Amino acid sequence: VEGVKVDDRGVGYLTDMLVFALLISLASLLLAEATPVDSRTESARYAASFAQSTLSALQHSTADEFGGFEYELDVPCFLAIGGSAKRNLRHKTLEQLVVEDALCNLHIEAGGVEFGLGPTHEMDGGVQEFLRGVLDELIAGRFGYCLSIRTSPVDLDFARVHFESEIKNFDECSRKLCSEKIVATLPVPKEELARRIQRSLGPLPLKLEPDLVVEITLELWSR
Amino acid sequence: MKKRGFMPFSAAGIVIVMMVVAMIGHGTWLRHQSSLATIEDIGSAELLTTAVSVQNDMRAAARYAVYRALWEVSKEADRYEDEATRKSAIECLAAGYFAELIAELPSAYHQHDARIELEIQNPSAPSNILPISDWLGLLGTWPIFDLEEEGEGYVLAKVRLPEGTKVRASYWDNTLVLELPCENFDVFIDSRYFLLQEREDRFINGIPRLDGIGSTWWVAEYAVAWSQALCGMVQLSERRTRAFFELAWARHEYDTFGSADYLETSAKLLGLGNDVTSVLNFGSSAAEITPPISAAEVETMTGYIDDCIGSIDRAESELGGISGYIERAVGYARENLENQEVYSFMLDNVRRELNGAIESVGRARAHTQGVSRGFEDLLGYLRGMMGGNELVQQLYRGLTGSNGAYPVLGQQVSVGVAGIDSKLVALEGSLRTCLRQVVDNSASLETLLTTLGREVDACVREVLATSAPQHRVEIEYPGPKNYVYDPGNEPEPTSREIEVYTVDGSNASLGALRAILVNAKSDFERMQGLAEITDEMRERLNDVDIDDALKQKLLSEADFELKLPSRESMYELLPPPPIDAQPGLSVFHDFCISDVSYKRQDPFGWACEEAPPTVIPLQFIGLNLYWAQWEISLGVDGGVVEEVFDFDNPVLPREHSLPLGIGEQVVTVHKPLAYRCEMPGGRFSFTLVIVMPWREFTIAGPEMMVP
Repeated sequence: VEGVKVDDRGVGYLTDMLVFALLISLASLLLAEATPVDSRTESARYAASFAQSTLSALQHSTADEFGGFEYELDVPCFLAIGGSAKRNLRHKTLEQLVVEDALCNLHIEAGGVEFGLGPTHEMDGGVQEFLRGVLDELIAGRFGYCLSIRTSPVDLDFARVHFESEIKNFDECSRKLCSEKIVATLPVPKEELARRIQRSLGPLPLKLEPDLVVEITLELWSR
Repeated sequence: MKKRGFMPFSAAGIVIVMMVVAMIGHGTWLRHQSSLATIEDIGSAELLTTAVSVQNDMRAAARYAVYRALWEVSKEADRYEDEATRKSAIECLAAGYFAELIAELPSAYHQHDARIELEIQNPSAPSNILPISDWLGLLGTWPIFDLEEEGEGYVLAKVRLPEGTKVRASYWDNTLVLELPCENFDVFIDSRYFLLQEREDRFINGIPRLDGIGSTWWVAEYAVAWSQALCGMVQLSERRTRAFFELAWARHEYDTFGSADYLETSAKLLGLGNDVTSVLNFGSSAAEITPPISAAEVETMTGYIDDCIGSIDRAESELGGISGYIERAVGYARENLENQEVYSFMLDNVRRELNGAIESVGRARAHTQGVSRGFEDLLGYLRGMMGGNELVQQLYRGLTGSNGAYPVLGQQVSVGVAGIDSKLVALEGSLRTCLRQVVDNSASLETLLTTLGREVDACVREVLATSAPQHRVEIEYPGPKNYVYDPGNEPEPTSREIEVYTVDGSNASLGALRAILVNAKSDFERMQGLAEITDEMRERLNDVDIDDALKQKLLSEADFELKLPSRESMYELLPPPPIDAQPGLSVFHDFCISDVSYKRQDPFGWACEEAPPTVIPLQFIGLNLYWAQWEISLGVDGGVVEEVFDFDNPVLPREHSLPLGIGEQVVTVHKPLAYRCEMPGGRFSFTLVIVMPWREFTIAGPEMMVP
């Protein structure tokens, strides 16, 4: 442009301003991304604490506090008079129910077939149903959950003796937040347990070394 | 002027960016630290949860140890001397079983989670259950269990572990170590051991009373026997006695436990071939028995006799004073015969004494007539009661009717009163004659009065005489000489002598009249004693009836027959529901009645079971009582089992053998705590007495079961 002479310094100023604006934008972006708190850690902490409280409730709360628990022995109806087959376990803690369920209903699997169901097999389903109700009441409003109860299996060549039970209520696509575990033991001495298993399986050439521990694991999942 | 800035904008921007990067770096480092702390928090909380779960597991182990000890001791409760010994045995056994359980825990935990350690002092605990005596030696060094009663008979176990027992949980790197002491804790046992013990003791202590007055067995036998007597024939039955005893046992169970072994009882009632309904409704037989006359009514009758005797007393008292009048009159006459001045005063005194004597005789006559009136009142009372009451009618006839052999009480009283009255009239006449002669002054006063005195004495002696019976009449009674139970001497029917005091008026006296009435009173008193027994029996028959709940249960289960190889074992698994919801106990019993015997105890029955009832003659009131008495005795074989289950709390995980095809399946099931006592057998007996005061009945020999 004739008569107007562009000053070199003006171009320099403009470039300087542009670079400055770019750097400020970058700094703002970095600041925006940075948060002082890790939300995943926080939610994991909350979930873990929640799971521990729930497990503590299982250990100390009685069935009575959740409406009571009872089941019926599966015996021929001509033997059961009135309510004689009913078993009301209202004073037991939830953990006791789980452990006694495991003791009464040890599964024996042989050749893919489960056998040896005793008259207490209704207890198994009953305890699961009862615990589902309890966990729904305690947890389901905030988290998904999966409570698994298992004993170490006694593996033999031809059979497997174990107890496993799982109660879950969560979406498959949700995220696992925590997993907490407590241990309990079956209320019989090891030798006695081995004797019981042997009696169910018949004479065995080897000496059984069953594990008394029942693991109770509670996983919490995001909603 | 050439102007320049402090620094270029781009340089300032670079500085700002660098500062922001530094800030973010610091923030990230802080967040990382915070995350580490969070993880540590979670980890320590998890460690604590694990440690608490182990602590909790030890409580559970204590609970199961007590379960097992309770079961084993309660199943043989009779082996222990008393409550304290039983409790000690449970505590020792529980300590042993607990030791056995926790001995395996440290390794089991460690195997699963190396972070957990269970430190128990005295690790050389025996792995096998030791005899109680050996455990006593371990007290103080090994677990101590102390059982206490919690409300409603539940158990609270106070567990004391050796000092230093603790659960230790640590991080993998030992940066955090948690130690939870585990020395003293209480465990609630949801079985009502103390309730079972208390009720079982109460039941056993009450067994001796099964044959006592008022027990169901006693009442039922009485009700049926008395109603049979009313119908004319009594026959005892072994079948019935066995059924009633079973019923009494069930009733005792129901009263104690709120339930009974109703399945067994109804099966036995059926097995005895009885109509269960009629056995249970023995109470309706009791309702039919109306005591013919009550003890209170007999007492009123005795009261009338007492009035008569009172009149005699008063008449005797009056007559006893007459001689005094005469003696005083003679005295006046002697003192004043010489003194003419006071003669007229003396005559007044003599006249006054004679008038007094005449009045006294008049009162004695009135009192004697009072005997008649009293007796008439008694008869009037009986007439008022008669109605349809056969006994009162017979009693009335006995007192007033005619008896060909000897005069009845009414006749003796009326003849006696008339005879005495005529004697007193004669005496009164003599006194009046004498009085007239005194006024006329027609004879020597002293002689006159002295003669009168002799006459009066003779007459009063005659009237007051306590005469011996005028004669005795032999009456043939089909009864023994005495009624004292003496099985060694068989009674022979014999005659009885009836004492007759007043046959005609000539030998009537107040003494004889008194003797008659006293004898009649003793008959009434005898009758009153029997009426009191009847009253009491009636009262107890009304009081005792089989409770409706038990009755309904026995009737409803009458068609249920449980045929099992071991009833007791099945009850352990499936105890029948209790009849009453509270206290919620189920009952099992097992006993066998070995024999039943009946022994007649009234004299007629000594010789022959089918002999008619013994007659007790009450001759003075003209009545016979018919009396039959048996000792009913029943033997129960040894090994009587009484077991009670805590039906409301089937909480003990126990093994149980279930029949499976030709073999058996051993399963673990929840069972209620059972409290079992085995007792020696024994004999139960009581005395059945039937006294029918107005009606004779026959007795058939007892109906015994064919072995």
